Amino acid sequence: MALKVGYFVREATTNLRRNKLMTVAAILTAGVSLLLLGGVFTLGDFVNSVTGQIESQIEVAVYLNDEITDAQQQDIRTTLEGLDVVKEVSYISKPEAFAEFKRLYQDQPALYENVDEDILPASFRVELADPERVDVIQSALQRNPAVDQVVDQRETVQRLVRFTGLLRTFSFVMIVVLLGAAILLISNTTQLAIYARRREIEIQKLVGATNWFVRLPFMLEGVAAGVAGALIALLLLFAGKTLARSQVPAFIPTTSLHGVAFGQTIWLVLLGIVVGALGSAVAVRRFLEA
Amino acid sequence: MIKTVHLSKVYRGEVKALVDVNIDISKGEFVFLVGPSGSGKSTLTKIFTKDEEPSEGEVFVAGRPLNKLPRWRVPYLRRALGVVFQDFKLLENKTVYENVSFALEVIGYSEPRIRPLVVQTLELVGLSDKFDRKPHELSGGEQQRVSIARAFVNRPQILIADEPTGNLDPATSLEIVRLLDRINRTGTTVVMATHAHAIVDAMRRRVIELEGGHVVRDQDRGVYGTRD
Repeated sequence: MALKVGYFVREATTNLRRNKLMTVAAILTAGVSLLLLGGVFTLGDFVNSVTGQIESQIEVAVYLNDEITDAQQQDIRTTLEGLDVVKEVSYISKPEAFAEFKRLYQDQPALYENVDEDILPASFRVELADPERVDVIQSALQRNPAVDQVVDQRETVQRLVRFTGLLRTFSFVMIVVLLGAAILLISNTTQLAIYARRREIEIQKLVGATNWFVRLPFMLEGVAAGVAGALIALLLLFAGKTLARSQVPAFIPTTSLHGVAFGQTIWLVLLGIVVGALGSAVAVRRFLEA
Repeated sequence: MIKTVHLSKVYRGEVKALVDVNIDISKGEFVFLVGPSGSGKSTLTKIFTKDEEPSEGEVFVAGRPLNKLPRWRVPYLRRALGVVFQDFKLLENKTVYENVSFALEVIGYSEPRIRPLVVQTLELVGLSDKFDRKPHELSGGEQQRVSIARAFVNRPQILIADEPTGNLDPATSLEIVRLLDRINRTGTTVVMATHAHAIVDAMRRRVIELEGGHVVRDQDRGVYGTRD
């Protein structure tokens, strides 16, 4: 068996050397395809982390009636804190609400200059563990006479959830399409190299070589090209992420753009192996059936 | 060793290449398949090597029922057969030695087993002084000897030769057939498709004649015949 392994490695390396141009073409093909895949991965990561942050900032505001007693206020706080979906509750008093309003509209002083500080209602700001479960708050408080209204950002949340779902489907489809394209491209590139050796394959089959025996050296070549392509893709991906990080506005989190994660490296190399092996297997199939 | 039962082959649903062929070739026989071009000789040899599938009937080769042979077993059938063609099918970038050792390498023989077999077989075919030549440096007869060495090097049970002398002059052709005869004497069954009259007449072996896909004669110690 050791001797056979030697045979496969020897065949693969001589062929890689013999067809330098083809080898370069196959490596670049694999590299570009895997770079695109890495790009889709990264984009997915990035969007996930951004939407994640937005989701975590979404709050429900429970506006209170002006004539509320301390006991009623305490009662509402207890109700809210008793709910499973609630992560955090904070109280915004009337002056605090006004201060916040002033801060938000500081470049339009006309809006608040002649207004009484009492005009804005006090409220509880509720942070939810699951931003989609606003309905729980609604039903818990809608009959409470001390509550004026519950204002949620459900529509924003739903839009965000729809968007990330769509993005997830889209990147999955992209990954499948890109993988398929990569396999076909590699197969097309290596087919020329295999064509040059069709007589050898014909004779191998004539004297009783198994299909796997014929296929394996080509697949090994494909794997080598795939791994080399993956390394190129990783290098370019790293460069691309570094560049992107400097372009993103400061308030957007960029942890997903720091370096190339170990997991992603493993994924890309594995995909390089799969794409290379399948690509050349597809390419050699035509000659095995002939 | 080879047996066909009501074997027929129809190409594209209309061209009848073989019609109800029943032949039985025993171990150690030397058989000529004769007949004009298009009589079905090549189709028959291709069915033996499972390069073609029969349309009807059963075929047994080297103890295997070919109709029931799964695709993945075909390589193992080929190892029991040596096949020689009119156009030699040698690899131009390999030496004589490498062309023959290649056949053992790709069926998984280990290096120490390969060398003595190749040397011995090349001596048998009379090429012991040409190990390092490339095919284009050899005459047609020598090239066919290399191809026979490659077919015989793993000592198959059956050697199938499809017009092996088709590209050779009469004197060289006779040498090649003598070589096949020598291989036959080691116990290997030899089936040779040919339309070289002189050779068939000189050897006086079993002759199976095909015409339009039918077996029209099956004769021990026969001659080519007078039909054409």
